[in-house]
Parts: sequence; C-alpha cells; structure tokens
Amino acid sequence: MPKAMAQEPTIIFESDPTLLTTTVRIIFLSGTAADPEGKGGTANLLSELLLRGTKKHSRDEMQEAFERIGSAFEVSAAHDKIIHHGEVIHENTEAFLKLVIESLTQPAFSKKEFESLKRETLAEINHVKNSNGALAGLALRKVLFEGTPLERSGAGTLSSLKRIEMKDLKDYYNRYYNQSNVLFGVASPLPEKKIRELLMKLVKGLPKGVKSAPIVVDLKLPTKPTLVIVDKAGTETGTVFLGQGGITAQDPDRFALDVGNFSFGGEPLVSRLFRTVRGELGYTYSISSTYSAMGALSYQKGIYSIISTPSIEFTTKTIRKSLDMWDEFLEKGATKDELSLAQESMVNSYPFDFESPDKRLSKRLYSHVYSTPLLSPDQYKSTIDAITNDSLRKSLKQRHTENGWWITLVADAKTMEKQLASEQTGVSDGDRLTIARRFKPEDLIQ
Amino acid sequence: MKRWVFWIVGALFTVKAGMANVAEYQKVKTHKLFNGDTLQEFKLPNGFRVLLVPRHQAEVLTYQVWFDVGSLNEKMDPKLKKTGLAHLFEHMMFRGSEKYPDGVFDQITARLGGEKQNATTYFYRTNYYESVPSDQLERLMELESDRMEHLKLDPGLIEKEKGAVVGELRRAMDSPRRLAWDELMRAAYQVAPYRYTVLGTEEEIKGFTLEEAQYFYKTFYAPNNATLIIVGDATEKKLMPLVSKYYGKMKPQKVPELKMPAEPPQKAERKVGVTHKQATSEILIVGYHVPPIDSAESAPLSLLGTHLSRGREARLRKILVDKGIAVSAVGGSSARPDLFEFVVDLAEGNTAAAALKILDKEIKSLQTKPIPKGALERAVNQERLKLYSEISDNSELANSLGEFLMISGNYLRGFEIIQEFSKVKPKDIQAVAKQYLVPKNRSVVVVSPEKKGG
Repeated sequence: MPKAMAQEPTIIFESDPTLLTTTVRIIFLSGTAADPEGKGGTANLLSELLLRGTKKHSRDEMQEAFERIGSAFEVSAAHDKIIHHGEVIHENTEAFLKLVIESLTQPAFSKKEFESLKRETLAEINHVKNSNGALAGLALRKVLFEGTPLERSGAGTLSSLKRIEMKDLKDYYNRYYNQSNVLFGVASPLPEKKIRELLMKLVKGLPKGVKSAPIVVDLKLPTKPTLVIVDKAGTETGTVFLGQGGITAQDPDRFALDVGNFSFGGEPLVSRLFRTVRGELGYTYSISSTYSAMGALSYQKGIYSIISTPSIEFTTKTIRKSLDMWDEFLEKGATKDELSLAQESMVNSYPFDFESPDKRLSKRLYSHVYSTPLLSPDQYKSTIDAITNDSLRKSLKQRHTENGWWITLVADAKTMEKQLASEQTGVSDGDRLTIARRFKPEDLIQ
Repeated sequence: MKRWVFWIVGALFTVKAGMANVAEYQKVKTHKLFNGDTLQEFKLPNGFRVLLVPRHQAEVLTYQVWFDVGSLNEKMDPKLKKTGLAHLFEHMMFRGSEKYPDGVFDQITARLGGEKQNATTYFYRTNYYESVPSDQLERLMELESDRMEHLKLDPGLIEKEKGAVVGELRRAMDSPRRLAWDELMRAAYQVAPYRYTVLGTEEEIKGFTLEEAQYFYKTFYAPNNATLIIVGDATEKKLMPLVSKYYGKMKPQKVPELKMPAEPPQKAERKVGVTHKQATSEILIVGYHVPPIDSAESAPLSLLGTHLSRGREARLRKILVDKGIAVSAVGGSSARPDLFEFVVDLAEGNTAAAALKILDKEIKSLQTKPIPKGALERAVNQERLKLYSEISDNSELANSLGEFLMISGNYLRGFEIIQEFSKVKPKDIQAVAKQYLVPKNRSVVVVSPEKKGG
C-alpha cells in the first residue's frame, strides 16, 4: 500500500542526561472496545502478533535482536488504546528504535504464529479460573456492561477467540495503526532531535488514516444492592467486589471525589473502611475502594468499587458493613479531620508524580490523551484545598447512588447461602441480600 | 562491555554530629557506584547502621528500616520455637506507641505525603518503608524511631490484629500456588526452619501471648539489629545529626545469634503430590539446592536463570508456553533459602509429569553442551537492563541494598554479581547445571485439582 506524506508526529519527550536507559511508549488510540462484534480479543491478538516477526525477519530473529542489545519490547491492550512500550540500555537506543519501526510497520502476519498465539491466549483465558480476584472483576464487568464490548476482558472469551481470523487482525491493523491515531512518549538521555528523526521513519511507514473517536457505553445499574455469586467450592475467604458507576477522566467532580475516596477507602491504613472493617472488626485482611477498577480514568465512565477479601465466616458481615458505611458516607461526607488529612496528604504526595522522567512522561501522556489539565503543584494545591465537605457531598450525590450496587462474590455458594440466611434474620425483606444471579467460573470465560 | 567498578574513597573515622548532646557517629565507608551515585555507610556507637545515597533530582526521599529478624529467628529461639510472631509483630508496629496511639502514626505519615508506606516480613528479615517529601525527614524520623523504641503492646489490639493476620493467612490458603511453595519448602528442608511458613499456622497466630510479643520486641528491635537506608534528597550534614538525635540514645541489646541447624545433604529425589480445592490445572514446582549468594557460582547460576526465564526468547517460554503446555514457566536461583526453582503453571489438560520430562530434556541439553555465546550475551544484557532500570528508582535501589545486606551481610553484593557476569563463560553455566540440576538434589511438588465428587 502506498504511504501518504508523513505528518508531524506528537512526541512527548522527557530529556535527562543522567538516564541509563531510554524508555519508549507508542500509543495507538483504539483498543479492545473497537474489536469487531462477536470477535472480542482481536486487538489484543493483533498487538501481540506484531511482536512475532516481520516481513524480513522471523519472530526468533527479531526477539533475539531486541534482547541481545539489552532491550525489552512489550505491549498491552486496554479498552481504549494499545500501548507498545519498551526500554533499552541507552547506548543501543538507535538500534532498538530500528527494530521497533520494523516490528510495527512491516508485520509478517505469520499464520503459524497466529495459530500459536491463539492457542496460548486460549490457555491464558482458561487459567483465569484460578484467580478469585480476576473472576470477581470479570463478573462485575459482565453485569455492569452487559451487551456491550466492555462486558468481557480485553483478551476475549474462549468462543470469541475461536471466531477470530487473520483477516480480522489485518483489518484492525489497517484501520487503526495510522499516523493520525498514534502518539509517542520518550524519556531518554539522547537529544530529542535524534529521537524525533528516528520516530519519523516509523510514522512514514504508516498510512495517514483518521483519528479514532473514543467508544463510550452506558452502565447498567440495579435498583437495589444485588448479589451475584461465582461459585467456588471450599474457599477460605470471600472475594468481594461492590461496583457502581464511576467517573470519567474529564469529570469536573473528579478532584472532590478523589478527596472523598481517599477518606472513605482509597488510602490504605487511614481510610474509614480500613480502620473500621479491618482495624476495629478484624473481618478482613484487605479492604479498599477505587475509581480505577478498569485502569486509569478515561473517556469511558468507569467503575467505582469496594474490594475486600474477608475470611469466609465474615463475608456477609463485611458486605453489609460496607453498604452501611457507604450510605453514611454518601449522606454525611467526610469528617473535618478526614477531609483535612486527605487534602494535606494528596497535596504533599503530588510531587511524587513528577519525581522521575518516566513518571513525568506518564503524567504528560495521560494529560494529552485525555485532554486533562496538567496541574502545577500550586494549582493542584489550590484545587484540592478549595474542596469543602459541602462540595464533596454535592459531588457524591451527583455521581453516585445509595442502592445501585452490584455485588460480585467469589465464594463457596452453599456456605454463603447458609450464612446469608442465618445472619439476616432481623433484616426486612426489602433490604435482605439474596443471591440474584449465579455463575460458574467457566461461565465468565465462555 | 562497560566494566563495573566501585571505588572505596572513604575510610573509618569518627564525626561529631553537629548538634548538642547527641552521640557521635562513624563514617564507615564511601562507595562510588557505577552510575555516579555515592553510597555512604555510617554507624552509631549503639550499633545502628545507616546507608545513604544522596540524590537531589527531586525533593523526595525513600526511608527504609530493616531489621535482621524474620521467621527463622523466632523458630530457632528457645523462648519462642514457633513462627508467625515476626509477621504479626510487623502488623503491631502500626498499632501505636505511648506518644502516638493506634492509628496516629498512619495519619501523620499520610499527612506528610507518605507514598508506598508498608512493611514486609520474610524468613530472614523484616522491613518498614515509605517515601516522603524531603522536608519531612525529621518528622518521619521522629515517628519511626518512636515506634522502634516505645511501641505500646496493647493486649486488646494484639487480639484484633490477630484477626487481620488470620485473614491474610486464609487468603494465602486459597492460592494453589502458595500451597505448592509451602510444600516445596517442607520437602527441600527436612531440618532447617525454612520448612515452616513465615505466616505461621492459625493455631500459632491465635496463641501468641503478650509476654512473647514483649520479648520479641525488646530482643530483636534493637539498634544493633537494624539498618536505616535513605535514598533521595538528603545529605550527611542534614541526616546524621538527626539520626544521632533520634536513634543515638537507644540501648543496644544482646541479640541471639541465629544458629541454623545444618541441613543434611540431599541424597535422593523427593516427590510430593497434593490437591487443592480451587486449582483448575496442575502446578509443578521443582527446587534444587544451590550454594549461597556469596559463592563464586552465584553469577553463572543467576545467568542460567535469566537464560531460562527472562524475555520472550527465554528457553522455558519457548519449550513450555509457546507449545501451549504451560501458561507460565520460570526458573531461577533464590537466596535464603538457597534454591534454584522452576515454577510451571500448566495449561488446562496438560500434566506436570509431561512438563517435567520436557524440563529434564532441557536441563540435559544445558549439561551436555554450553549455551551459545549469543545467548549468554543476551542474558548479560538483560541483567544490565534490569539493573539500569532498577537503580534509577529510589525505592528499588534502597530495596536492593537492604535485601542483599540481610541475605549476605554485604549490601553491594547485587552489584558485585553484575560485575562477575562479564567473566562468566558458557562453560561456567554448563558446569553449574551439571553440578546442581541433578535429580538427587531436587524436590518435586505437583499440585493438582481435586477430582470432582472426590
């Protein structure tokens, strides 16, 4: 295919002459949510296949070349982007970038590698059944995003993977790997000019194309806390995810909600959930809450979740306590002490986001991809300090719900049925938690 | 290839801290690291050791306190003879002192902007760590030294914390991989206390008494059993007067020497097969006894592990993962316990027995002919990349110094091994494979799913 005239690429560059390595991130702005219908896992397979050989060199030759010069080149596919990322000992930066360019612009699309990759990915998907945390997360996605591309993991399912053909990968590559859809992040001791020249070669190897628009879907929330169980026999603990709608990266209430979450469950050791459910009651080793259950905030409204792993006998108590504490938090917000602790801590720890070239790079790339302001420490301080409990409560009411929780629980279903019956004798029918939906681990990967 | 050189530019001398009524300290050594950083070692008269790597690129620093005590010490201590207290105690260090009651330490460090605040316990050491803006150094040191000297062991809080620790243990028990590891330790060590888990048993955890906790604290959390590591925006001039002020008055204790029973040499292969309710596929773990990390064979053993495990060209990935037999497969040497371990997570429908045959074939090949020079070059450069990447991070450099100090008594051992890599030849790797990766020197553990209805 003839290539169009190259446009000037967006390169976020962090220069530091003391660095011993060069790190590179190449971001294509479409991800697993753009998989063809019924073929979930396409983007993930493609991104991996690009590391498995070029028109000139086999997979082994390429990999050996990468690793022999002291570099690593990997890839990860999120719902809204694919990130090719690598690091190399600084003196071999040029050789490394040449290999990167060859990988991304001249893929072999080897049938043998494609079949091998599918086989490996099927095995990985199957293996998820061994991880209770991954199963609870999958169950939560399934109920929150049912019927949308986000209802499954980015790797796809056993059935969707089997439907994917090489043509699907080529179509995805031709559509989304283009000049308009890519940006670069580099932290290096080398001069920016040199890096830019090399990356221009990569850009020239791609078609001009068009920039992808973010794919955004609606969440499906229940009207009352609804318990979904993933049945695993003989568990010593319950793995509990409570999930409801979260926020986007651009949400104007984001900072207020970050402060609130710090107080409620976001900060280990000092949060209200941790101090009460672990510290006072001793129900669980870990309990926390987060807006980042699906990774960093993006254009897609994410999930707000409370995650815990109580000993099995305290599972019902932990769920009920978490819900009660949420209701109180939603109503009253944070105490004066909690609020000042969160504000002071967040402001004082903000410099850590900029402590190394790699962290600065991450911050700048995020700001660019999601059109969020890159605040200076002073700007951040004034933003955080301006938050009051009234503004926090207002934000909580606007963005959250008291009852719209999905509760996904990986545990022994028989044990939990008995426990739910015995521990909710005084609870009214309307408030009683019952198992509304059941999954076997294999249901979540089919 | 670049040679790795350390220059000792300092010598032992004594410095008066620039503050009234504070102890003196000794500047023990200064090392120039290969990346240009300077590493200084100091010691207080009470035996408290300090390692400092000044870095001023950002106004932050990592603060780590390492104690030379772990589960091995408690198991071998005649007054305790069980495991789990070292770990429970790590939790108790967050439950308050006379001056700063339960929860206050965490709140103040959070206010300081503390990042990555946590603690870990292992067989041979316990560490506490956080990163803070550098202008909060003194406040953090006051808090850290306070809990090291004036911890309040409240019986009610100990009981509450036991609940959280049991929760941690239960969570571990839900992991088939964890079971496999515990079984390997029990099989590989018939006598040495590596055979007892760091977390202890539920019975042991629930049974710990206040007196045992008090004894443990007084004995092992002594200045002569601790090392402070600071990497970041600090200088000797700023740091050491504070160290003298806050740690200098602590009294040294007679810390019992850890007398490990000699593990009899293994003479025959040991095999263990267990089931786990939540396993859906088999797990294979194999452990071979190897020499300790200060041995000359550490470098070829490390490179053998890298050759087998790191990167997409790793041999185990090629022969097990790429073939669809395993989901993951790694091998490499660990220190204290000194084992070369293979860990293979089988893909569903594949057996550990078949994976072991493939592994044995690969080992046979390593023993029969030297690996290609290109493969060795790949392994060495992958190690360089790892080191370059890690050393640039304050926390990771502090971790490396602390871990090697606790393992071997030599905090620079990690860098020395990297130096030794340049001298390793393919035949050296062949030699260690021949000598150590033999069946009579190994323990093999297979964890399988429970049969349905069984």
